Amino acid sequence: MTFRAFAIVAIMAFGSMPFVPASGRAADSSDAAVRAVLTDAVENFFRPGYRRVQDRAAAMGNAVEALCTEAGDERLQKTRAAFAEAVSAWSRMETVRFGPILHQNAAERLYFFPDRRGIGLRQVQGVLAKKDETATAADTLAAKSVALQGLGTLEFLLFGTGAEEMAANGDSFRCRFAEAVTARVEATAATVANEWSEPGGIANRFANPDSAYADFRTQEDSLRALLGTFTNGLELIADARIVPFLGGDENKARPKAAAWWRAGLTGDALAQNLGGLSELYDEAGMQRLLPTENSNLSSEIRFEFANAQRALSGIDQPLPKLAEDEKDRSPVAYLLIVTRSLRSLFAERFAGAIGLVAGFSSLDGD
Amino acid sequence: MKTDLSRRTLLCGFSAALATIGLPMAATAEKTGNPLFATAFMEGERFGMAILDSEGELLHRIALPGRGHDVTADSTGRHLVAFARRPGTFAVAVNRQKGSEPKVFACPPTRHFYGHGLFIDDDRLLVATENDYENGIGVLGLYDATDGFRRIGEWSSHGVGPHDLVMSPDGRSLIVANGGMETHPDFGRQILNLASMEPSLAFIDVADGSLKEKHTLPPDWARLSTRHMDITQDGQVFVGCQWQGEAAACPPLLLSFALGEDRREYDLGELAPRLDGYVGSVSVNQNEGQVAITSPHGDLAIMLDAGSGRVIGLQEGVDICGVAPLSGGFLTSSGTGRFGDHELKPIAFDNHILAL
Repeated sequence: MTFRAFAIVAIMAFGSMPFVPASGRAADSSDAAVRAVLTDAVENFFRPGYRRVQDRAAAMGNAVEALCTEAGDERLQKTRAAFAEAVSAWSRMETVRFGPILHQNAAERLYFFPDRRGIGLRQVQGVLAKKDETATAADTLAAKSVALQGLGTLEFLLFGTGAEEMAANGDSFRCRFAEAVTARVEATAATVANEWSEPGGIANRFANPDSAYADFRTQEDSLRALLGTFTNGLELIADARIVPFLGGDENKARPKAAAWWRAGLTGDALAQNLGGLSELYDEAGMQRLLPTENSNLSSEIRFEFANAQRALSGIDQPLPKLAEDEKDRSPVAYLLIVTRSLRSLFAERFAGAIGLVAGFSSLDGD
Repeated sequence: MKTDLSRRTLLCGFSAALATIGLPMAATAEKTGNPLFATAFMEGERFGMAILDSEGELLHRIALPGRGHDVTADSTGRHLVAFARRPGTFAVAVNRQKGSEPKVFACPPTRHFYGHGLFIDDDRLLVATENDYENGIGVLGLYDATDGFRRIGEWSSHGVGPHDLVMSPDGRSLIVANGGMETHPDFGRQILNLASMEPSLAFIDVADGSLKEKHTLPPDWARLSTRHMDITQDGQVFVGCQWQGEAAACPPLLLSFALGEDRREYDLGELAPRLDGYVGSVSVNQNEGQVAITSPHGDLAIMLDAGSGRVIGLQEGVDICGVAPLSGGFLTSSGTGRFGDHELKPIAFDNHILAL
């Protein structure tokens, strides 16, 4: 008899303590159906998604290497395009905050953001000013601040003050620094992707939970992590990606508080953030978790994801600047509303439909 | 410290649990004279602070301007103060004897409360944990309880993200759990310093706010946020933590500290992962020499012998979090409206209960 079962039996037998089953998951979401969803999430989203980040990082590394070998405007543009591809791949996975991405600050190593006090920027500028050679080799860079080792640093090197130097001089310190950073991004992405691919690793524990595991003991644990990717992820998009630059009104807009404002990728990254979640929902086949009476919920969720993409696709200017204009900011304000609406759909309706509603005490962990 | 989780221990634990957690000893007592408790709650869209007895009788309610978190009392139990949950900025003080209007006061601009506080200096001062969020540092706001809770200054909390705080039994040290997490109201609940967290427990001189002793955690535990606590009569501070890292690498969530002593860690064995990386409340029963921790994420409460660290009782229940000492053990509450063994829906209880 397992310990857990023993505990429940003992308490119920005496009947003197208020006991409500911890798991109220819908009866019609059978173990097999849940396992299918978890397995599909792994095979169709987590594994290929992280591998794509690694691949795009490698391609970006090749582009930087080519630029540093023979500098020029065209190669700088190609490198910037490869950077945009890497940002896009990362943004698609960015809202996942469980598993290996939490290990050794991998998420912060890949993208140190938000950086409210400009710590990362100051460190990058410090390395450039001092021409710190230890930042030009991946192994010594690895021991430095995580804020120096990611896509945010590359954004400054490729798009920030002095970026034109990259096109003019391939042998520059800035270029060698960029090579080391791309190597670090690739290495971090590879570590995360490899952990997701490891037999008997996170993927197996997540899809086939067992009471012997410290992280995923029951399917409910896995479903909470999966659902948390939506609820926490949508909260991250709203609170840490949109609100900081949008502000309460046009006078409080702060364009430079936007992610990727230097590279002009704010809108694309947001589209990938939301697109990634939409893809996860579909590729995992999460509608299969819903009881029949809640099947319409999937249509509502897809409708809102489509609204978000439509809002973004109608914008042909950099998002951060739009926020400063009373009229132009309305699509971004609308995007915030849609993002929060999506969060409610997952946190309240979807979670409720599959019996995973977080109680008052456990909401907003404090 | 290794907790013995043999089958025999568990059997003993359950019999103990029946006499304690969730089973008020006052069950057969008359209504009058029942132990009293204060707690923050939500009912529908409204928030408040309630005083209840151990039988779940709701004796008083005080409306709060927003969601509350913890309640503290002065040494007489006459004055209660409920604090806003972070990042709230209000506190509400009540004089239980006078029946006067509750006094609402606020922390200054660029600060928010973390939801906890306590009275010091013979009840003349109220100390509250606060966030100096523009600078990303923790402070202790000092409010004059003899002058309408006017804010008269602040001390450093000697860390980032101070949350709960307790007073040492000799009245000389304020002990503050610096959770280590930097947040800023502009970024909602996002943790802004996950890669550089430095959680700690600070022993602070209550006379002048100076640091007496600071206990930090090992580098591998940098994401272990020290959060809620209670203290035994002999000065052992039990700290319940919340893990912000990879679930598979979760360190012990229950630690204890004492001035001049090394940290103790409580290995809860097979129970540990069931806490889901999250301890929401900690309570010490001085008379029984017991400590209880709750996890609303794991729907579990665990009771231990405070001296040996041995697990002596369990309670399972959805969204279980509030916990306070009661004769023979503890009383718990939940976010689903349970208080002790009484259901008070549609009321939902917040994370903490103060025994009055």
